Amino acid sequence: MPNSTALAKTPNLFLTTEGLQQLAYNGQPMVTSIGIVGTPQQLPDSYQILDRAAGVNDLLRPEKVAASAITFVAVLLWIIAVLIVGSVVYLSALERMRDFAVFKAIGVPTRSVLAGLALQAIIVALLAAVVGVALAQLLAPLFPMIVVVPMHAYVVLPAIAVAIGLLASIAGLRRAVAVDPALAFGGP
Amino acid sequence: MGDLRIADLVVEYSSGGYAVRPINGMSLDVPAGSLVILLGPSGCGKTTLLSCLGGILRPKSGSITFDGVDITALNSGALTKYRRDEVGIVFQAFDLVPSLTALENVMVPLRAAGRSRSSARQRAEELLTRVGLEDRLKHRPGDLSGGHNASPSLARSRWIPP
Repeated sequence: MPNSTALAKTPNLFLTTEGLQQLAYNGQPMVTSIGIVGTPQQLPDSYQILDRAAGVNDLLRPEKVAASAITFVAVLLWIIAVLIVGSVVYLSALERMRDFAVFKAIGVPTRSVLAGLALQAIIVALLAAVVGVALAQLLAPLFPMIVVVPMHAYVVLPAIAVAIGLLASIAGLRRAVAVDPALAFGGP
Repeated sequence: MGDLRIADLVVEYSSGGYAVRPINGMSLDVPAGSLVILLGPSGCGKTTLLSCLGGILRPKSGSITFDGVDITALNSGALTKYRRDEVGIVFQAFDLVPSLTALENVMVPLRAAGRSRSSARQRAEELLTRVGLEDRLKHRPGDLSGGHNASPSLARSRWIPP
């Protein structure tokens, strides 16, 4: 059957019962599972029914370790994203300390300064998410494994990106809050 | 515009582990409409006094009363409003935000005061026209000469000489 794979792109091979017995069991009348269409009225002794979902789960069971590893890597990448976005926002805030001081000195509320900085962090994170989605689409065919990104991931990604952006900007926001408007005058 | 009264003003900060008082017990009354010029050698506290008057620096003690309001007793939010609505500052280095155009620099305090974007733009254009920068609204501070940098700063302060 075309395009049927498991275990990271390992192709599935479908055989007749006789073919499997001939190939794997030296022609002995043994089987491990039988795929059928429909619902059996009764089963031979010691047989059990697995529906399609249970069959797929059984087939994917060896992949759970690999999937857990990929999830772990994804968490590490989110942490790296926090560090990178945080660094960008923090350095940007450091560069603009005098601007923030001037804003405060001419009567711009601190919350407006913070809102601008937080918005920058969110935009950086959302742009990074867009680039990530585009790269995923471009690179998926080249990846040595079949990777299925569920649709809900594309919905959740912007929300996570915004949360990551805000989390990453905390250090920069703290600096912006603390800046003394007297800095605009070069201090006392 | 109201009268300005400064009473027993003391400003103190730490420098190299020592307490320095650039202003120590200063008192001054300035009637509304007066033009006052501060003269003094470098380091005598002129900028420090202006910072206190502008609500940028909190003194150690004493009071500054402007138009009947003691600005040294204002909380942070009220002080921000005072700086925005009552004070116009032209900084020594003009301190325009380099990433903003001349027009945007002047729009900042107007937007902070609650004006709409179009209203702030219109007012900023009027102010910049009065200081002779109507042809350079879109120029950034780096594209303006040193002398021209004073003009947006003057317009931003909303204090335009006649």
